[in-house]
Amino acid sequence: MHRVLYAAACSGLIALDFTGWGPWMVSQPMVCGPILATLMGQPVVGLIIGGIAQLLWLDMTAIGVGIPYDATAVTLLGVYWGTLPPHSALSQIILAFFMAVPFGFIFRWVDIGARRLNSVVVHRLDHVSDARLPAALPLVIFGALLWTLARFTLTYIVAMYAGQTFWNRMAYIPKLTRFDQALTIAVILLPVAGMGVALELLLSEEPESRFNRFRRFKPKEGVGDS
Amino acid sequence: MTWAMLSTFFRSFFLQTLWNFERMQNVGFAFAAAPLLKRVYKTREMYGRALRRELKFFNTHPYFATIVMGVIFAKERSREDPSAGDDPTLGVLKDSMGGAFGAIGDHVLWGTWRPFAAILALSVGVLVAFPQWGIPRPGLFNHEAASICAKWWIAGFLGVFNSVHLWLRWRGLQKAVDDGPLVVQWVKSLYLQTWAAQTRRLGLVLLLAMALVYLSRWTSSDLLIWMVAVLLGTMIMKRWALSGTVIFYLICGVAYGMTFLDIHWP
Repeated sequence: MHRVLYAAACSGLIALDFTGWGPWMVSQPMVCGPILATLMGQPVVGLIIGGIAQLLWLDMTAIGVGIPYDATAVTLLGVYWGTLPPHSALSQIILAFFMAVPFGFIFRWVDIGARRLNSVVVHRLDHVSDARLPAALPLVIFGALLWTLARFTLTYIVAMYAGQTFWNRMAYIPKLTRFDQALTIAVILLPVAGMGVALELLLSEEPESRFNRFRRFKPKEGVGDS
Repeated sequence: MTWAMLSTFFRSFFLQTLWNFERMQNVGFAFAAAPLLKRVYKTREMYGRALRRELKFFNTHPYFATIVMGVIFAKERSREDPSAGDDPTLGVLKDSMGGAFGAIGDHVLWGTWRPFAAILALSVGVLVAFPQWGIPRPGLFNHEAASICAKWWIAGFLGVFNSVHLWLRWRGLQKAVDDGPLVVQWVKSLYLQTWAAQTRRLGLVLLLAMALVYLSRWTSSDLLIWMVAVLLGTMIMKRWALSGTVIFYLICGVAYGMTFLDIHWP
């Protein structure tokens, strides 16, 4: 349990990068993966998962009203589960990554919900008098920072613990099976696929057009007209 | 004045803390611009009213936001009677600058500088920690080599990326406070679009070199054919706008299929 709390607290702090204080790019998979993996004692797990995730989701970032798939969560969860065995084999690392990928959508939905809640706070701020506004602004900003840290840490605790329970029950040990061989070959192929994504992005004259694909929400009509 | 600018610079990192779907970065903007506005408005009510004006919709690239803050400060400072109420041109200026800088930032920083810094740090880290022709050749699971690679990735990426990021935030604020709306001339003089195009080309060369080095490490010809097919296939899939998630599971499926063809880890 201590391990989960420690990893979730570190992950919560890393997740603040884009939504709380920054962005300093600490939440990029190639940075957060090795950081968490080093803290968990197996840096190679962070290199494999972080490096592949960085390239594979290189064309993913938050612009405008688009909330992208959370590649940071995928990396952190994959690294946490991948470092559960004392000396992880390649197939175990990719299996952890395999399990973590759907969580990118779950964290995205949580983020969308949290940002809707932020709108409520903004409406409340409209009712504060002009004289009190200078004092209210730092309060809501630091309140939101603490809330973001708390919700991320809590979500990571739940996700990490659930995955860990599943992982322990499965007690996956590499064997000479077809499934295990496939996971091992995937370690060779996934970086190549990542390079394909990066090549396509750099060959594009308008790389930012890739980001627009993830726009799902449009501001209400009239909002933004001042 | 330097203290107010420093305060705005540090507060600008909170720009997205209360990001919302309706007015986006409005609260973060007002919070960050507050130290500058405080220097223009002496009474608490007027200062509060000025902050209220900044609570309208605002969205831009986070690294360019300090420029807009500096411009708003310069315009507010130059008003003959700051107590005269709202100046509608300020809102229009803020919106138009936010939109323009947002587009530039997405293209130059998110679309070009971030991928370039990532590829640079990835390739340098791997080459330093796992040199192909070096003696001894450490394996992937060598703890020491992995630690060296991790340090290169973290320090390399954060150092390269944030050197431009921090310079743009601070210098942009300085120029905007001094020049007001004419700061656009300074931004124009940076030739960001031209730099972005050159950086993308350089990134492409680096990436191709990285791909060649990676492919050359595997001696099995069967595997090499599959790797080239995956590289080209991924590029085509990306053209079709398939997400990284779909590609991930497809590659795992391909790897499973390869085991039926007796292709294994060499």
